[in-house]
Amino acid sequence: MPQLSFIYYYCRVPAMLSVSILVASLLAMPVLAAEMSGWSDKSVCRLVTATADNAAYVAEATRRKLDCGTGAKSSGDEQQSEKKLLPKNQGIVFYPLKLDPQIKQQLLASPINKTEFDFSPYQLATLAQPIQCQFNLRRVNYDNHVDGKVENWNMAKGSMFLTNAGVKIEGRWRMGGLSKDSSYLKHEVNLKLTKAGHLIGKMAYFHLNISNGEALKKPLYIELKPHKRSKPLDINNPQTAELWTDVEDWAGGVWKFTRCKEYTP
Amino acid sequence: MSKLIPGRRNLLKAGAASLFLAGVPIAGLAKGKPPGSISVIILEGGMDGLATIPPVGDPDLMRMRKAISPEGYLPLNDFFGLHPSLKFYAQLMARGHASAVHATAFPYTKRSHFEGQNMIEGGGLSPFSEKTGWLGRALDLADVAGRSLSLDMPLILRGHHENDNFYPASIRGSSRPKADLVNMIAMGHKMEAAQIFTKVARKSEENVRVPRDPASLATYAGRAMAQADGPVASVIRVNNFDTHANQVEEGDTDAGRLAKQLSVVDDVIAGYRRGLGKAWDDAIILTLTEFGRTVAVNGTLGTDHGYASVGLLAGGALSGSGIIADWPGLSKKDQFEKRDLMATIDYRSVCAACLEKSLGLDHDLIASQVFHQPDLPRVFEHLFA
Repeated sequence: MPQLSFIYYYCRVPAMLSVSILVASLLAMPVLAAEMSGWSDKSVCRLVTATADNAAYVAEATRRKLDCGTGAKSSGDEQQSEKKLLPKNQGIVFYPLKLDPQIKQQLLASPINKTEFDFSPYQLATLAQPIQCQFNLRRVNYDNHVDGKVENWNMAKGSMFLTNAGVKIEGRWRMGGLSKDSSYLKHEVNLKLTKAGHLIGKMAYFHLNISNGEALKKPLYIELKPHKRSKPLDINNPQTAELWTDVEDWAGGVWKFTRCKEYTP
Repeated sequence: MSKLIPGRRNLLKAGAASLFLAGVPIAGLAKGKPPGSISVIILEGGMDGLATIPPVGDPDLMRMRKAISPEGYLPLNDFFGLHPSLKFYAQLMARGHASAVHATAFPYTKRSHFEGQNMIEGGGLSPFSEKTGWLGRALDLADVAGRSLSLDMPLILRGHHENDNFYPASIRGSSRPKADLVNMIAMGHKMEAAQIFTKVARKSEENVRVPRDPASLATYAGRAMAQADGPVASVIRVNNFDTHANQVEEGDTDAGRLAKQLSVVDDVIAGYRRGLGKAWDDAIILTLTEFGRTVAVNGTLGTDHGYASVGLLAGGALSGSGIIADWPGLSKKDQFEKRDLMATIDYRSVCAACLEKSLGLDHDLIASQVFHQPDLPRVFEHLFA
């Protein structure tokens, strides 16, 4: 019996395996062929270029005598096989934008920068000489004071340079956190002076104190407009000014200008 | 000699500091300024290109994915729309500063996040075949430095010894370590170790505070890149695009996980625009994602891993706005393996065109030395001509 088993395993099993593989292959081939028979030549070519390692796609392309731009013959060369993976970038079309004119107008009117501001409704100052002022910014608290109480500490402090081109600030915020980044006063400010001596425009504004270790908070982008409580700058005789601005329901700000004088840049 | 013995508290601070300071940027790394700048936003998880730029002119779109196609899309032309979350991107498109490449992919079809991400960063022909990244290799060729806005140095930027990474941290007491202590440690080391501590000492003199969100990082990166001696490349990662479930909210196809993530991408691009200022004119921003999603919707209002997706491009360096595609179709017979959007444009060609424009490198050089594919097709004229 052991001899019979030996013969069985070494003669019958390989034969059975071979037959099984042959039958499976014969069954699989028509299935694959049937699946791809309905596909367009273009699709077959795309599959060949995208998955050149799949012999069924290559075989289908070869059967249809498709070139597919790469030569659909399996070369067995690995480098060649990798190349077939790649889309050939043929037939690229540029679909230009055809936006509805009204929508396009709306999109173009939307601000790109957070500090974009339309100055056109305002009469801007025309200065013979630029003006330099020292300034401090203080919080106006409306929480328990209907008219607002100016708090006795500086949110920001520095020098302000008022020119026909706009306002340049050299100074720093004192609100902790992100406000320590001097670039906010440098880059995130778009202000101009009106003929009546008000500051108008848009700027990054830090209204909350951030202590060390607290999560950083981004600034608000507020609009500065003429305020009824402001004491504007006399552009012909610049000395002092007090410019109020609304920020939130509970708090606003007041810019105090001192030691204003004309200067030569 | 006793002065050389650091106290326990200071030593702990230095430890925290080195972690924090490893992420603070060093200004002025670039040696020679190339013609423009390049910024890559890596969208991890596989972004659904068919929802981002829906091909509304394809009759099969609504037939196959009505449940997740954004209803409030902006019609860009007769064939393509734009997801409503990309509001700022729409503004850029109206100004001729944004384009998209559709039905595009890196040559990778296996749908694995790990392999796919490695492919799009490494730029090789197979996963894990590259130890450096395509952007790093290009920067090496251009002899300029790049900067990573993440804690680790991503594969995409590896390849240049002067590349640096930046990620803001707010560790109490770590922002201003004692310079004496760092110098003291540097004195105790030689060669490369000493150089590292010198670098730490230099970084400790900077005090940069930036929120951790991608949009603020983009603004920061833009500002740095706008400087005359600033870096010319940056990389930002945005994750969570693997929208297997709740890609849209039930009853509101304009909301959901994808909408939220696309808003982040929109903010990042806006951040770059704000930070770059005038340097925007020479800037190129492009997105990368490891693969797209299936054409069909799954049972959880989501989509599964697919093949081709869309690449979003923005920047003043673009010649105009539009969609660049060789549209493959969405019918079953046109899909890749009867399930995914077929890729008809090799996205490496798009990356190569962006490198050619921003770094002033020759296409053949990029093709052979960056992507190791000498016959990589050139698509430059479709984007920048």
